[in-house]
Amino acid sequence: MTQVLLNALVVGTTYALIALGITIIFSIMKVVNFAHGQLYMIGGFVVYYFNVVFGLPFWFGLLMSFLIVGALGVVMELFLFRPVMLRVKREEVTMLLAMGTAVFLESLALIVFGEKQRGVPPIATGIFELFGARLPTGRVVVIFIAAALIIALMAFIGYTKTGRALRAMAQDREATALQGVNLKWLSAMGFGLGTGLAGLAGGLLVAIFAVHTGAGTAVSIKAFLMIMIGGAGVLSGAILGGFVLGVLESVGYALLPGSMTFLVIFLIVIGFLIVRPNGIMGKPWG
Amino acid sequence: MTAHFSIRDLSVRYGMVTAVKGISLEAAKGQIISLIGANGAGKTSILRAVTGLTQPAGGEIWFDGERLDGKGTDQIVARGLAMVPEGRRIFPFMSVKDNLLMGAYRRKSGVASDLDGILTRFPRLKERFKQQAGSLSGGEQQMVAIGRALMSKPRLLLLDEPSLGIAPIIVREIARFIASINRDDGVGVILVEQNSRMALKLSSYSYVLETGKIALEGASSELAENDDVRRAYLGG
Repeated sequence: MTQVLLNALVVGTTYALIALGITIIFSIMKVVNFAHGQLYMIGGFVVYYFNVVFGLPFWFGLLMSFLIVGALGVVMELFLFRPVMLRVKREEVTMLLAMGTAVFLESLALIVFGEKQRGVPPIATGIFELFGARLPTGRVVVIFIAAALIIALMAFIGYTKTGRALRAMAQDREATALQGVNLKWLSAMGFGLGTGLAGLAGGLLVAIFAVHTGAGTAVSIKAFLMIMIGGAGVLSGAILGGFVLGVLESVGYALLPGSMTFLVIFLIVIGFLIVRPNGIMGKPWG
Repeated sequence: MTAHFSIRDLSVRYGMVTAVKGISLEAAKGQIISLIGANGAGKTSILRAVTGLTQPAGGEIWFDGERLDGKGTDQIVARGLAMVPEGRRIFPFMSVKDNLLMGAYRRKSGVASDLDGILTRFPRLKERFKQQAGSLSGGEQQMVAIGRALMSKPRLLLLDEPSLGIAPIIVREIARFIASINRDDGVGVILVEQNSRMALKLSSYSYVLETGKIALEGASSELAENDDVRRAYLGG
């Protein structure tokens, strides 16, 4: 059981990063970013290219995955979502836009990166032992990096001026503008922060699992599951949702045949949402 | 003559509806003026146009020798205007402290001492400092909203119905506060109110609005004596 929980910790911390990214975008833009998984996949390839192809250190690749995928998010906000949101008010339009972006990014990735599965050399060697459970040291490193990133992000959102403005914008855009905040700049930055987190998560997990261009779709669906479980638009809910899905998945893979796990998870989540439609920490929508 | 703040021939349209139909008004430096009139007279629309939340359909807005209309809200705020919007619009899921600090978003120095200044003037907020602003009473929320606006160190403060939905005793406290920041710090005020009695008492000059036009204007003390105004807005 300790083994399963350790595995859950690896997956859960990284999932929390993914869920935090999608939550930031949802709460400031009211957009469900269905392209989140594809951005995660691109983050994985960025690390692969910097680490394996260019021979640079893993940490540098990770930094680049944040910056490049973050910049991609800024471009998406400025040239896709903003122009569309200015013209149409219906929410499903931005959902379709996000899905279209997902398909576009995946096809583009297939052309640029090819169809091969890519991985990076182990970031650390050795085996870590805890109460009889064993974990490759590389995975322990991943847990610590992800946890440090989550703490850094929460500190940024909670205690910096820009973080405060992001929270304000999620609550009331006009009132935020009235405090002298440039909403255009902050929206683009917030979107980039959210996608950058997807890139980081992808970059981190490429150290454990390899990445391929089709990896995004499953991650997008999982990201959506996490925020449904935790409560859409709430940061603490995103972290919780990430861990809950991580535990469910690890326990499922340990006890059930592989193909059954997500079937069972979906049934559990559907049942849960009937009882608590706003998720664990969520507030009613709207 | 060029006033410190002036609006010339302003019109505001929402789709087919014209809410403001060619209004001109002005305020001297450090003056309190008030806009009074019934619901739907266009008072809020004027303030929204001044702060750039709504783009005016026509006219000009000038402040301290600079033209404001066409500029973004953040740029207008940067030039020394602050607004307490209708319905307060505080950030409900943030602490009182974070709400007040949001007001100082563009500032770099002197924030801590100004925060102290606000808390000294509104001791109630000191007790609630770490509490979520959404859990406060209406009057306390209005104090947060006014305090937040003042944290930007404005030279001109726009107040949209500060007395709406607030207990009379708190309204008096807020009125005293508005008078004191005007007197002590020289902050000019544009006060939009349905509570005409309070508005006429606080301001030196007033404009009476009716369906998007100025129906009457004059020194507040004179308007308070005017029979039409008394009948229409002060209840006899």
